[in-house]
Amino acid sequence: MKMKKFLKKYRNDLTCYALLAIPFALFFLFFLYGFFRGFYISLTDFDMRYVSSRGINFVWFANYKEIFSNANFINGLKHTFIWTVVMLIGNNFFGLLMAALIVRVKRGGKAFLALLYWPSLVSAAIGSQITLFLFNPTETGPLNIIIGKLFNLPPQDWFINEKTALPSLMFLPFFTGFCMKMMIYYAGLRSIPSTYYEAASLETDSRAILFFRITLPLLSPVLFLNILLSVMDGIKIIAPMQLNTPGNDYTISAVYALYIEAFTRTNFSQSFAMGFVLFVIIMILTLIQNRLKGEAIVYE
Amino acid sequence: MLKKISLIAVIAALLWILCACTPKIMVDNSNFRYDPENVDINMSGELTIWWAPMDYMAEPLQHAIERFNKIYKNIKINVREKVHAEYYDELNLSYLNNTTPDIVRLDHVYIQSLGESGLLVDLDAMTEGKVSEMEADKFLPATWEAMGIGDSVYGFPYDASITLLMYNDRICREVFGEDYQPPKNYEELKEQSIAVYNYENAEGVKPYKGFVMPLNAADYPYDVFLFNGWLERHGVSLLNDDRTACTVNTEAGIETYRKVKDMVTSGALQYIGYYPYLEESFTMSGETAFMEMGSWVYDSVKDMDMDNDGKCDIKVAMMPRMVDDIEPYSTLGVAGISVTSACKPENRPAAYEFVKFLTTDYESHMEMMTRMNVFPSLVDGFDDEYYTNGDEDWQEYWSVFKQQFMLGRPRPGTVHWPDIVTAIKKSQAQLLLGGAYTPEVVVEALSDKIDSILQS
Repeated sequence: MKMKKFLKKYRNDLTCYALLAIPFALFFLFFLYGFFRGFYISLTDFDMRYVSSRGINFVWFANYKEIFSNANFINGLKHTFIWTVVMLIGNNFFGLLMAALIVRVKRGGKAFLALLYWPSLVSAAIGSQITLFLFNPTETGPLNIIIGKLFNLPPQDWFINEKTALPSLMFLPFFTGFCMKMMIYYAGLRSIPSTYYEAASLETDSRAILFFRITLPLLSPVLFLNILLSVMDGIKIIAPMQLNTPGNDYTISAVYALYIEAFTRTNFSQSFAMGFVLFVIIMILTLIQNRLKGEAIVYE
Repeated sequence: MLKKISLIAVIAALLWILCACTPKIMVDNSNFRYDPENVDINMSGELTIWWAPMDYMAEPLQHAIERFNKIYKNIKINVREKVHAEYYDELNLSYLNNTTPDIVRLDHVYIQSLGESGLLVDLDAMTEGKVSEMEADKFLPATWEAMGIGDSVYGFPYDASITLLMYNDRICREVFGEDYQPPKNYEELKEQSIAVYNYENAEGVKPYKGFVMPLNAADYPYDVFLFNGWLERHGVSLLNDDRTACTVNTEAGIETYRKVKDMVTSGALQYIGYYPYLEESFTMSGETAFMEMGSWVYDSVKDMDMDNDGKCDIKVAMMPRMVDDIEPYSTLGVAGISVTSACKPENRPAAYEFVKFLTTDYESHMEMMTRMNVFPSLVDGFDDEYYTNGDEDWQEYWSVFKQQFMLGRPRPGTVHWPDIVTAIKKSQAQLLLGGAYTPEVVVEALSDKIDSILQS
């Protein structure tokens, strides 16, 4: 009797919980369990090289202290920061520029959109081959031929030199990594009603004023979304480093340092500690962005 | 009410997660003993072997399993084929996930490294020394020694390979004339490489590369594999005998780096940090005169006959001497088959017998080696007909390979090997940069770095 009453009272709630159970179970299985397990391991001295001789011991936060003297991780954080900032600027600038241009195209805009989106379909492995081809360090490398002809410079070993290694790796993603951002900007631009521009055109003809006073404010939700995506993509970057310059101190990223620590050195506890530090960094940046978003964003 | 129930459920779930978080590594280093002199052919068991072969290595393994099962009918062998490039990463991760196979094929550096970490079964301890007494003599000494550290034996040697100097005879005859002789020492190698690189054909084009070698190669540690041979040819070992200190910071070690630098700056050595390009330039486009290479490329080069004279363009020679009174050593590559510590003790006798069969059964062993075009580790196999008059095209090649094989030096296996590889790659990058990075500075930094790695 009590049960019937209970079921009647909470029928709607129970239905909701039942429906939520499936995604929650998946979240629990693939994220929550991994999250806690990873955190727990980061508090131990779990290193496959020594696990058989010394076992697995609880060391509290010693790994979190040690990773900040790990040259790979420190270099990785530095390069990740540079990569994130450069890609954030480059990809969003080109993405917005291309989207703004395509929106103005009267006929065939979608064809341009499709063509410009194409590079994003190229796999990271193919992209790395193109990068290796362009930055071939011998005199037959395309870029070396160009600098030789234009500036009479000898062939450069782009990935070995500290000054050119990271910029060389960033070259292609900087110019071609805007595809997804462009699509989002394009959708954002299309959603701005033309009435705003018609009304504003009575006051000014300046396209710059229209852009900064109307387009940009109304595009701010999209802008923040793209910035958030850029930051998260930037912090998680690993593929170009792993495919083009594995083990190179001058290009290593934080996630790649984490990968090396786990898979090459089998020091899983430090690797998980690095993962948690990155998680905290991403979380803090997201919270900051959300706070800023709340203050600055303009909804129509 | 519902909120309370939900809260209790969530707290219970989190507590359960935390309790389940403790990593449980299913390696068993108990003192399990097995007497290989009293073999029970009716023993039963189910074993998993990881195999990361090229396609052509799958069939010989299946044939070996069929032969094995004719004797041991109750032992089931499951083969898990793995992607070659991710093999070692996946193996490392398998210990974390408790998905480690019973048997693995590994490069000897990994055998020593994982063995030292207690992740492979010490067969010597398991058989109370009988494995060495009964089996060691069947194998070439250098290959057997590469399977362990001290008295420990962590696997049976399987395939072995050696690098020597391969040269494109067509290019060399075009540049130096029909009575061409390959270089016998460093000076000749440098001189000939420069001549090939600067050679202009009738159209005034410089079509060839001289000597190519991967340095600071981005793709895998093969550059360090070759570089180890350069050190050995100068009489330098990377580490001391007990692998506790780096022994590169000597005049001979500096001289090695000096010569590499000299080869690069003089235009004799065309290096690139991406190894496949180099191999392609030698084995496919045929534009490179000299490269250190092993017999495994046989299938790629056997049909290279660009001048259509009916002869293969590629020939082989002993490694050029770097120093007059030091033998022209090169790095010995050995892979072995090991039983992992994840193998349950009750299955270890079966695993031991299978590994022993796979590596010592002549027919099975040789089928694999001849398919791979590498050397067997079995003493008897070394003189197999295949390496004397089995393959008409390569008869003269194998005799040179055999001579070079006798001068093979394996790399020092240690748990720190991946870090040492990274340190050597960095030293190569610094060397190529020049400027303040003189060979002396580079070698000193490398030595300090490896010492700190070994002490960590």
